[in-house]
Amino acid sequence: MSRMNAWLLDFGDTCRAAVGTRELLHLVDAPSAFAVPCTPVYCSQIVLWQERLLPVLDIAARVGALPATAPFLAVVGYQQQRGEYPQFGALKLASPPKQLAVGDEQACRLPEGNDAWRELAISCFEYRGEAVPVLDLCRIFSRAPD
Amino acid sequence: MSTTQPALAGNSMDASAVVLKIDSLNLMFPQSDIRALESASDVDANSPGQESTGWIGYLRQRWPVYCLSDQLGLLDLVPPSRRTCALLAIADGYIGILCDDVSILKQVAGKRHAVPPAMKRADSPVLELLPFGDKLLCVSRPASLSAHIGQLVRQASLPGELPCPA
Repeated sequence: MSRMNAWLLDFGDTCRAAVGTRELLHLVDAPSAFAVPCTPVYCSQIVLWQERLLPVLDIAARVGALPATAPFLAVVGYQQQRGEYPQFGALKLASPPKQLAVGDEQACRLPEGNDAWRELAISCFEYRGEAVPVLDLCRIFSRAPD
Repeated sequence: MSTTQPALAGNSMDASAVVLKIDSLNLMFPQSDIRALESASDVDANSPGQESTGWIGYLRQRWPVYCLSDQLGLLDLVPPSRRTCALLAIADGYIGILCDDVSILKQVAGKRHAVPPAMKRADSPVLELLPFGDKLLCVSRPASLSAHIGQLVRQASLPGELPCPA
């Protein structure tokens, strides 16, 4: 049996992507978030989690799909460099994540027709006939808005 | 005209602070940056300056007053909830900001957080974030807010609410 090594994340509006199993730390149901002014529309809210303020990223809005209705938030962790203390962020989800076993033979090109994925994804794999980008969390949460 | 002169505090944000409530936004300044609180009814709406809603008198001069949304965009029409005008000290004078309510916090406690990089625009007037009870306070300084308003005024070309600069 293959080892589960990815979480499939559903952002709504047929927008999906994946992260590694160790990158998803917590699922928050019905979160209460605070709006912060003068921020990009895809990252305009903050949520308080374990005495930290986490930016809430709406991947669907970021790639030009309909913004997520987001009954869930996925708290994710990432490192800017190996061995460094982890940083955290939150992703809006339309439904609970699913675990997948992904192999190298599933590698494929990023979804065509949407350049936004090039700035968000580190790789991509095919799952049930669909290209699923793998999110580059460090890049997504570390980069200032354009 | 009823003027309240808040006691001057030190420059430290950990001293007393003033929170301007603008719809769902709680905008926090050091108390020493707020020079007066006036009733919004004291704002002279005749011949307002560009993108401002009127003028307020202070120290025998008049200063522009701006009405902002909770996204810190400029509003043409003043919502009825904006009942107070806070006069903020800037380098070359003062600006008035209309707000719904003003509260003074003594000895502000709690950890202030940097705005996360993914949401931080270089020219944002929101400098830090402070969870406070069931609220999130957006920490600012008059110079940053004044620069932000100045940028909005320069960019103004359409009626209605002007968004934050992209």
